[in-house]
Amino acid sequence: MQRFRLCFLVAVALIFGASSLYSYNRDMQVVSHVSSTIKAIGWASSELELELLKFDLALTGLAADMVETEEVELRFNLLWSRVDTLLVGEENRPVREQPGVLPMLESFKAQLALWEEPIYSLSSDDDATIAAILQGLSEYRAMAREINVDTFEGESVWRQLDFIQDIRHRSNLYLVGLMLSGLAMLVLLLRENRRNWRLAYQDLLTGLPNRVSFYDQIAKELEQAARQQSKFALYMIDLNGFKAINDSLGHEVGDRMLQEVAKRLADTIGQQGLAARLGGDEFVVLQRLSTHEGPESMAALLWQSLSREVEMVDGNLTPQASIGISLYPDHGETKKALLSNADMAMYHAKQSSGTSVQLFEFGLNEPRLRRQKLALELEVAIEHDHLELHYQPIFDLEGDALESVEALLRWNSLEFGVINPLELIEVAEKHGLAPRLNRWVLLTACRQLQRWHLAGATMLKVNVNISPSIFKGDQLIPTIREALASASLEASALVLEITEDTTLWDTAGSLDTLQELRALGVEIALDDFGTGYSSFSHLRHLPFDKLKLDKSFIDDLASDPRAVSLIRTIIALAESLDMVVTAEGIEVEQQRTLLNELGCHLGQGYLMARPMPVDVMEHLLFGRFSYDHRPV
Amino acid sequence: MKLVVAATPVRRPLIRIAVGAWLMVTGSLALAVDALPAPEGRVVLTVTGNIDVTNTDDGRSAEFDLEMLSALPQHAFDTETPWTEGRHLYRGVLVRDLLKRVGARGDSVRATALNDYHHDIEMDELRQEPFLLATHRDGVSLTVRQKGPVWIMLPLSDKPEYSRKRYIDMLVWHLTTLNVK
Repeated sequence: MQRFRLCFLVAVALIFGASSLYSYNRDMQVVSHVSSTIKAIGWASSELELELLKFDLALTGLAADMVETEEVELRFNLLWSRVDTLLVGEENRPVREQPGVLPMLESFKAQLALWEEPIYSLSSDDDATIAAILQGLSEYRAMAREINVDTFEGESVWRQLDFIQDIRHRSNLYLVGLMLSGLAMLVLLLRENRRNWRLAYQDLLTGLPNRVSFYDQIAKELEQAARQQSKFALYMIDLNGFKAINDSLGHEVGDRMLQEVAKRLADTIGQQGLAARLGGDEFVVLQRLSTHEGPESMAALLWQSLSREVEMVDGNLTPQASIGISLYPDHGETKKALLSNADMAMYHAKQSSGTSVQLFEFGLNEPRLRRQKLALELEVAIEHDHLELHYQPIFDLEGDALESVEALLRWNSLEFGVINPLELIEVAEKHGLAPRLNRWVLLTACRQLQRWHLAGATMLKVNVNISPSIFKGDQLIPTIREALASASLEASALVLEITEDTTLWDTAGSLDTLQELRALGVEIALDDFGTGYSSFSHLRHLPFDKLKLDKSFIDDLASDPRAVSLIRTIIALAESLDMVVTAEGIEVEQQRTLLNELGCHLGQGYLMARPMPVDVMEHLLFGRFSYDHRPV
Repeated sequence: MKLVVAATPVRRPLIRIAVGAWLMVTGSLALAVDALPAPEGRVVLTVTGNIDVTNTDDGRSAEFDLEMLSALPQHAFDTETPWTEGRHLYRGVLVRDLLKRVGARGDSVRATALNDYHHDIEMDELRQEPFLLATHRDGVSLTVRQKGPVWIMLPLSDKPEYSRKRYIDMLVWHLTTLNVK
């Protein structure tokens, strides 16, 4: 492509130069033609005068008996021919066009015709005739002379000659102008070409090769390494907290930092390879390695070069970088594999504390790969209802009646088997699937509850867990409305369990959401109470209906009198704030008895019932016999 | 347009016969060895200088009357000129044929006119280009008033190159002498 362009440019330049020269030559030709035409006209005109004179001489000679009549006739004919030459044809048109010339020529021609007969019958004795002709001739001689002088010596000739000279000058100027503009055009074209090339292959901020250029380079390196059976290392370098620098100190500082980093990387790698900027604060260095050389020393050099302070106008900054390394051919033989593995190692370095350089190793990418695969599968699972809700009953501790059920998400992945709900939530959150997952859970739980209501369990409620991130978004209320509407369910039958999270409760928007939910009629339970950081002020300000005591409190209940006092106090506090307390994780009878004695209203746990699938739950709810809700 | 016609004067110039010019070459080869008879009519062209064949008493020149010129291989073309109106058919003997007839040897030929105009033409050029010693226009012999009796002519209309000043200057009218140098 580049070669084609160059050829094209050369061709353009040649054509331009050739046409310029050609047009210059044309100009010169025209000028010389015009000049020679003028000369020819001058010649023709002066010839007329000459023939007139010769004829005159012949006649005079005849009168003096010194010339034969044949000579007179010949001179007459030559004069006739000369007049014709001036009267007819293209060559002497300019002469005829001179003022006064054509009438003179025509009248002279007529006069010649009148003389023809006398001339041919002339003898040396006809003195009178000869004198008459000579007399007539002298008029024409005078006229011819006058025209000759006027036309070819007068001002107009000088003007014409000046004009021609002027054309010559201008042609020279045009040529110089054409050549200069052509040259300028060529220079501009070449520059533009170069600029385009730079734009396409160079990172403008740092001057390093850009991503496209680096991809080209690494392809070449791969080819060469494969041919020579040599190896090379890829260092993927990412600055830690660069976004914060950009955000807090401004892009100018950020750019300055990137330029410095680029310079240091390029200096450090030198002739051993090349450095490029892939984008943002992401750099890559390629180092050609000899057979027994490892990447460690270069990694250390790179890291050290970056750890030096960068001088800024308002003080110094110390960049911190994470470096991930992959080796050819050990860690991959394609550009994609090598880059992705170096990237993986870099992320690993970034995420683990204390390590800033990480050599890729197989297995490093497994958790990430698993998460990626899970995310893809989860998306499909939500779409096709491959997820499942299990339900764990919550009982009234006093009368053993079933108060509500907590919907718990279960997923049996095709590839990875049963997935831990915590991992499931993490994957959903990291890959932006949380809102859709949340919607699926709400819709499914509400519809299931409605079915149970219709089957007779009219007082049953369902508890659904909502993660804080969903709570912060603006989709929660619409989704709840949709779920309730689609199941034709009373809002009071839905309990939202929200874990305590101080950042959540401190935002004004969250409080609004909470108020709106309350207004809707949905109950709200503060989940896992006691594990987080919720302060008493939260309990005072926020409109919770229920408080779920974390399992950790319950575990120690039988053995620790202080736990008993704590729970008694919490229950009293909750009661005074109009909250109902639910105890989580009741596993032994003694705990249940104690909680009941302490005044705890509701409880759930393996002692009473484990989470169960829908059909078992239905058996529990509608079994013909008085159901045994203990674990089977 | 070029055409070769018989030695007799062309009476119907509009009949244009496109026959190969090579016919003349064989003809002129045969003529070269013959001695040249003396002119009977009025001399219209004299060839002087380095020539082998002469017909004058001093043996230095070859003189031609119109009849002798017409007896040589005839060549004709019609063309426009800068000194005439319209196309006309010019006929006569080619300069190269005439030079061959008189056994001319030299580098150039000076063509001189009745009005003492003269122009030198390279021999090579005379051999390569179809310079015609036109004696007839549209079948009628050229008078002095019509730039005759002999007018060096080129087929100007056939080849734009002939219209350059260089060639135009070679088209000597009122031709009277060819001096081979």
